[in-house]
Amino acid sequence: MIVRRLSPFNLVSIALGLTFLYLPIAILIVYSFNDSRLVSVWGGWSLRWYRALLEDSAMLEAAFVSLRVAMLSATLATVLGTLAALALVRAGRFRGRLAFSAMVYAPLVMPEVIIGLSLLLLFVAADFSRGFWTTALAHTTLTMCFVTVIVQSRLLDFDRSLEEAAMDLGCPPLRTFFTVTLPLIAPAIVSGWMLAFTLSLDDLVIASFTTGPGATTLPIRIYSEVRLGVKPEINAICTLMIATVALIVVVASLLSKRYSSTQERRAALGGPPM
Amino acid sequence: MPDRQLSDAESAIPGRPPPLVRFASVSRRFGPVTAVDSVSLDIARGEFCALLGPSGCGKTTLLRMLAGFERPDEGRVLLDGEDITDVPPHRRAVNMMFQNYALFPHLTVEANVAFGLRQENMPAAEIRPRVADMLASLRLDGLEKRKPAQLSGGQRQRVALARALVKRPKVFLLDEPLAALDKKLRSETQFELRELQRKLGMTFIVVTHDQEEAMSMADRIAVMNRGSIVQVAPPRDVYEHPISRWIAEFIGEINLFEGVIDSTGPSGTWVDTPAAGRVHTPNEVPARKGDNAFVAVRPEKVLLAPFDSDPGAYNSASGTLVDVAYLGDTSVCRIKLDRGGFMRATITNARRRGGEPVAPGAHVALRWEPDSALVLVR
Ligand SMILES: Nc1ncnc2c1ncn2[C@@H]1O[C@H](COP(=O)(O)OP(=O)(O)O)[C@@H](O)[C@H]1O
Ligand SMILES: [Mg+2]
Repeated sequence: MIVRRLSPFNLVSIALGLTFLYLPIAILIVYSFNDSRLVSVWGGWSLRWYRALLEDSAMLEAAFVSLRVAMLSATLATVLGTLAALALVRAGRFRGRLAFSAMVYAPLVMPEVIIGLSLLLLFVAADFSRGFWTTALAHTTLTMCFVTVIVQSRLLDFDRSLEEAAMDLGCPPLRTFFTVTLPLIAPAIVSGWMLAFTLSLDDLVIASFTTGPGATTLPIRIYSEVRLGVKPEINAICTLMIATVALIVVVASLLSKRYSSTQERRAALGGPPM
Repeated sequence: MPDRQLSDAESAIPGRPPPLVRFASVSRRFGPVTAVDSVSLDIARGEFCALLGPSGCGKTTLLRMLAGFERPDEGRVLLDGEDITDVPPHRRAVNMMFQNYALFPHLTVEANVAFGLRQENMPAAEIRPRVADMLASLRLDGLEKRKPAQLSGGQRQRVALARALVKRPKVFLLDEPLAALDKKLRSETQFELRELQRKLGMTFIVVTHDQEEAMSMADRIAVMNRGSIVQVAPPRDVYEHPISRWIAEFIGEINLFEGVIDSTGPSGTWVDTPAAGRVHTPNEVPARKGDNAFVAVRPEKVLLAPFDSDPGAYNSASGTLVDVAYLGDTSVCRIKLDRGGFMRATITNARRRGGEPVAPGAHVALRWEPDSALVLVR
């Protein structure tokens, strides 16, 4: 690693950039430990808002809904997104490939309001009662393309001769997929799942279109509380969310680092074929 | 072009063992490119056969048709008398060593080698000793728990060998097996592969673009050019009796003189060449008086002699020595011929101080025995 002395200009621009990005978050975190009831007055360190949070059953309920939605939609999106990536990379040139790829990637560029609105119209037209399931489905639609992007790039530099070698050694195609292909693209799939999870966790716009009574997600809950005035408890719950997301991001980047250095492939994946 | 060994129905002759592998007029096209163009080739049991040709001539495609990864557009592939054209790769009793080895990066050396046996549902108690034997015989013991990324190039190559050989295939296919090794290791491995093949009595088909590699290992070389097999013969014959100008130039160094056929018959051919005069060669060619032809002489068969010495029964030309490249074991001399053109002669440096007239600028005679030259009409 080359350590270079930074010029004053670079130092200033880095400092400004970091401040711009992280100062609001830092303030939020610090104020979540504020002892004062007033958001803008510092009253010393305390955990009282975290304790208050434990008694706020509506907030806890919303957090639980959000976690369930994120888990379910991330899992669905991972399965669908991986299949879509496989189709795009492996199926060659099938009829409608261009249209398929455009459809898969549409949510990437579509304004969320439009996705939310169109899903709302769909659910109304199909006479679905809105709530947990519709939100999970909507989040699957939103996050699937992110999984596809990640898995597709891994598949594109996947060495096909590994699969041929497996078949050459007597392994049928389907088993080859599970014993060779899947273990080798697993890091991308896991990163895709994590990205989908965090995206679902912090979505406000689509959820507010597609959810219904009894399935209020955390961002919606927070947003509606904030409209009545910022309570210090909100800072506490947001700090917890930031911690969760940060943890996932760290794990995902560690995973991808670990797997990209081919030195460290997990021995556990080398179990006997099924 | 059909060769004696190919176009036959010889395998049908009673008493002669049928070939283990038969390519019967196979073709494979990729869009506008014809990678393999109506190739027929028989390979006998226990043979070490090399597919030799320049890069892009279709060697790998031909090999992959036998492994099952390419389906021929035309023709059939037979293994041990059985038509395997439509058999998927995982049900063929052939194994292949890939050009980049294709070791499973997520598996240990041991698991890589055991992979093929696991597919046969062999009990673990039987797999373990077989894998251990294989690893030991290829000097890989002690590396069982390593991942491919933690091995040297030579070790990886041996793991790839072990992984395929442990399956005891009917035919073992090697795609450029030595291309990724450095020069010294390559020549050692050539002999090891040859020895391994003899010891196992297995049929090997190796693809290579390196003629030295093919010559040093194979019993028989199939020379390929642009999707076709142009000659199939033992290494010595391919070198000494190439059947076309292209083969002669592809394999080793050669001097070519343009000329016109004067007469040809069982006693040999006389060719009139502007550069070397009237030249006699021992081979008869399908040509008539007046046809254009090339006389081919390998540089190591050309002798340098003092300019005014008596040529005797030798063919001869004369010229001026332009330069001498000293290569240690041999020196390569380049001679500008008096009657136009250049010629190369290789002289061995058997003595520390040879008495040869090898100073650049010297006027020399070039001699070669009639037996050493060859006339080529294609
Ligand atoms: N999968 C493929 N798709 C398109 N063209 C191919 C494919 N495989 C081989 N070719 C073409 O077929 C020709 C022969 O290739 P190959 O058999 O790999 O040659 P070699 O192994 O002799 O270098 C080349 O022109 C190559 O570009
Ligand atoms: Mg090749």
